[in-house]
Amino acid sequence: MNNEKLLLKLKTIITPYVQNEEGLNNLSEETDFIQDLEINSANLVDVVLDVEDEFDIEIDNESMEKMLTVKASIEVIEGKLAAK
Amino acid sequence: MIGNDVVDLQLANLESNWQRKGWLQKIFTAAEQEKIHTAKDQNLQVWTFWSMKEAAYKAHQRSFSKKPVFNPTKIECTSAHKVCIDKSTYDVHTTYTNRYVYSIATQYNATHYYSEMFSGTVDLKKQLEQIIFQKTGNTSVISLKKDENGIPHLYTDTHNLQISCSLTHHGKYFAFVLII
Repeated sequence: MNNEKLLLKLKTIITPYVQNEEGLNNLSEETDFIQDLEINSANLVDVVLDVEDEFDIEIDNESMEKMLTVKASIEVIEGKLAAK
Repeated sequence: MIGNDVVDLQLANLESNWQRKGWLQKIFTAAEQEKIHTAKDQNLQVWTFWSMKEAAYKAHQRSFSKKPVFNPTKIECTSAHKVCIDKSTYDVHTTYTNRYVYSIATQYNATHYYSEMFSGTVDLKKQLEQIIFQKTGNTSVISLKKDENGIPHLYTDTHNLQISCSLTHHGKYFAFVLII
């Protein structure tokens, strides 16, 4: 899966939790889930669970710890997919 | 060091389904999960622990100027009033109504903090200015800036007031707490 496809899939996953639509329109690798998209911190867990379901991977706590930005999340997903 | 967190219970129940498979396990330690499962009001216990963890995390992040991380199982509610993160322990005071849960975390049982809660729309900056004036006599215009780690600081013009503060908002509720 290339980076662009992965970004699109991630965007679909996070969209229902985003409270700042403008942040979503300007989505980039640098986008921060809490600061830029105003995703409620309790919903970060849902993002992680949705990512696990969508990509059929398991995200351990150490990886989850980093998943606060688009870039870090893509890195985690790529790493887990490569290890499959 | 201080941190606070409010949970609007009505909104939390709309936004989150804590009964979703895997949800509790990603957030709570085995001991916390056990306490949730045996609680009389499981929903209230979930959001109480959540708000305690968030409040303690904010105090901890400020103490150590830490970059944000998301690892809620490393923040453990060891009793109804204590939260441990790494080697630090925070004292947490939680207030309940049937509409919200509100936690304030401090270190070394600090009692000289001031907290206020609002519902609906509020001019937070104006409220902060009023409190700072009442407590310190400082009449300056106050501005609120977050640093690169997302930690808020209070300034007059360019001068950092060095007042430890924490802000929280969820649904209908806003609250701030200051060590002043």
